[in-house]
Amino acid sequence: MVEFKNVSFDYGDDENKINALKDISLTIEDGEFVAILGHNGSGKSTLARLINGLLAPSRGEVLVDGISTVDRSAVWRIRRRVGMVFQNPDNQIIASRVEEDVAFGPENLGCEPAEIRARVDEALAAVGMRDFAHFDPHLLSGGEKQRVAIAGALAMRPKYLVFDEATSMLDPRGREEIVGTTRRLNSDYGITVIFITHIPEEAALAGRVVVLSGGTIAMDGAPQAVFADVDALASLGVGVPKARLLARGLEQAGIDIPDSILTVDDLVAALC
Amino acid sequence: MRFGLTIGEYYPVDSPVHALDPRVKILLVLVFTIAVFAVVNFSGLAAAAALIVGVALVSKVPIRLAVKGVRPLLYLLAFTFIIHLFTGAKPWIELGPLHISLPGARSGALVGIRLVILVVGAAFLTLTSTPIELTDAIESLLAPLKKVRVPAHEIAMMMTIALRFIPTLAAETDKIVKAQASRGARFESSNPVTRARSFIPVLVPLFLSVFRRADELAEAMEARAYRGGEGRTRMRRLEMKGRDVLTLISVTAVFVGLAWFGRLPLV
Amino acid sequence: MIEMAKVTFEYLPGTPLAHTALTDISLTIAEGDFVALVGPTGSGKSTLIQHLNGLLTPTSGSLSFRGRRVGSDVSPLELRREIGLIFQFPESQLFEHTVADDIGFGPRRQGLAGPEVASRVENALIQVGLDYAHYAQRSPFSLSGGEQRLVAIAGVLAMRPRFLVLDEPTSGLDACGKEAVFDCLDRLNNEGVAILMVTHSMDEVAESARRIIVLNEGKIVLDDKPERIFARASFLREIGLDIPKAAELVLRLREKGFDIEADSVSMRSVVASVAAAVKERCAN
Repeated sequence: MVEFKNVSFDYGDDENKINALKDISLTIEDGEFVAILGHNGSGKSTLARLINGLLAPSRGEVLVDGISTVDRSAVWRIRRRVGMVFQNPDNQIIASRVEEDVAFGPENLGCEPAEIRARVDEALAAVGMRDFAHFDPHLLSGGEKQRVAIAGALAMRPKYLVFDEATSMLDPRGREEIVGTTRRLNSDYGITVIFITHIPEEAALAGRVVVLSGGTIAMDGAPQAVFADVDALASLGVGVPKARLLARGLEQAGIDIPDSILTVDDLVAALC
Repeated sequence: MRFGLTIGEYYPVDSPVHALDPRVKILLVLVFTIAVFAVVNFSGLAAAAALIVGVALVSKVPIRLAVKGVRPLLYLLAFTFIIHLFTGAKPWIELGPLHISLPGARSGALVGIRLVILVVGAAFLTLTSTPIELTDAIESLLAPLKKVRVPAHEIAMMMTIALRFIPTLAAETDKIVKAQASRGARFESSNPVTRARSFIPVLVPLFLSVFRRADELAEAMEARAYRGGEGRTRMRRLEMKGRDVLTLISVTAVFVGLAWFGRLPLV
Repeated sequence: MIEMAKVTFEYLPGTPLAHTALTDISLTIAEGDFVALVGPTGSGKSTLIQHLNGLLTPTSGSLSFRGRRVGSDVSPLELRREIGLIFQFPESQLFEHTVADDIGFGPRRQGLAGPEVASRVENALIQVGLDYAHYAQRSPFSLSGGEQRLVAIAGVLAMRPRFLVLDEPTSGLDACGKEAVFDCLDRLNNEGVAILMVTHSMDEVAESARRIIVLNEGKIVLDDKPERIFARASFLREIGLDIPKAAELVLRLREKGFDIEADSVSMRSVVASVAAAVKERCAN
């Protein structure tokens, strides 16, 4: 379980202080797939970095399985449990061969060579990149690089995986790959996923959507409920899935349609 | 974007030289270098050249790939030869204030040929070992020096990351050059000062990008529990086999023989 | 008018790594057009657009600008004044101390005088929707990603090109950022600037593009109006492309027997046609 208890975070010094997060309280249970949706500058990335201790809260506490992230002696235990995938596919890969990069995490943990080998193979298989083990990352597409990054995090055998806008720089094919891989990791391996994004269609696939705006939590619930009020979300700087917009357009044109529509499939089913 | 084989790039093929422990290869290059510098006659240099041809055959790497590395040096070689030619002892032909010296010609030729032999010989190191192997080998060879505060792990990590980012940064530079060219920037001025300044619109964004990448990479490394070399293990470890030790000893002996031969009063 | 005639381009000819990126490309971009160039990754989109401003020269075939042949009658440098090219993530080209200096780089390279450069900078900022007083003297690196994107675009607009070629201009931006870019492009197009936009997002182009060119494996496979392109949904999917959600809705409903007339794929027009068809169906 990940808990945020009255967490605030400020950037900058006293003269130019930016209040990125304001008194956030949030609990994420084991096995959840939570999407964090928000406009640029809403505090999403800050929130991500507070979970694995890359940042420490200015006020309040972040606990991962009961361990506080400010406990410097325990932060390494936390990083073993909380894996993170960042936005830029290139700036996470340190080695010029895929399997060498995936081995980086377990090597840092001091695992035995045979153990590292096993974890690397396992992680690459889980993301479907086994055949690319000897490739130079430079030759991979954006989606493939991100899958290597995910494998690198998986090799640490994390309980939680945080995705910080991991699909923003990818093309639609790459985004599909990542979202698909992530959902499988959650459903088949039971990994708790915290998926930060600004793309509504991706957030709609989660079990729970938390909307962040101006450093505070504005909404928290199932996607159908969160995306129901299109205008409220617009004022929070957040969009809704296109299918929801179409549904609303039809509603305004006089057609009777529920406001829980999120996909074209839902929409077609509702109209027929 | 530059594709194609850069000078000395790894040539993938199966051979005893490729399979040799990379640490042995590095050490042998060092011994070879010392031996060649000890040679003072042309017969010795010819013997050294013959040894290189032998290595080329055993490694199954086309020797022309190793010779490619000499091209950039041709100006330097010519220049060195000329300096030796005109500043040697025992003037043979006087040309006004300058003179041509035969001993000078000989030493110039020796220095030049020695350099060519070293460049071609050393190329076989990178042609038969992958960058990862070489980085691992350097880290392993430097490890004992940790006792005298040499940061072996950090050096190896820096090399690994640098190698990893070379193609990425090359592609980025290409993109920035094209973006600025699209805004009317020109890079072909003949005036060296203007030419240097014309690269500011490329170098500034490139440096900024490199710093940003470094920050992001550091975060990503920390997120995977990196905290320096302490307590770190490796998935792959170099293991010196009997064959490697034997090769190291016997080839070193050959090079010592080369040095002895090269110091005899022969041509 | 830009015209490409039977252009073929091969990378690294004569080496073992040679590969033909473009084959027999013929297309015309008229003044004032708004064209989207789509295609799966590796189809040659980047290679194609780099021909338009002379960064690359065709291996065979020709490029003409307003009737004059590029290479012989007009130099690449002249071409770049009329045809602006904006790469993906253009913020990486920012380098000057202030926003105004960076935007002025292009005009200064052109040899324009101080007052003219200043006026171009001011206009460019207006065109991208940024307030001069607020932004001109700031460092480009103190801006947000979306703002940097707009400054980079302004840097090209300051050269007053009549054709603007953009490679995935909204890549990496959030909804607000995307809107700002599209508002700017629509404004420019209304002023008569032709836009050629490479994009992966069909949803985006459905609203603004009047013509879509589909590239696959270095060849043009489709070149038509959006509605006709999106009607070929299964073909697009085969080559790895999607269609906008609105178009998908229309297709799916037609399959179910609805009679939908949508002649455009904009959201508004699709909603209106679908609403009409649904009401008709319920009335029967």
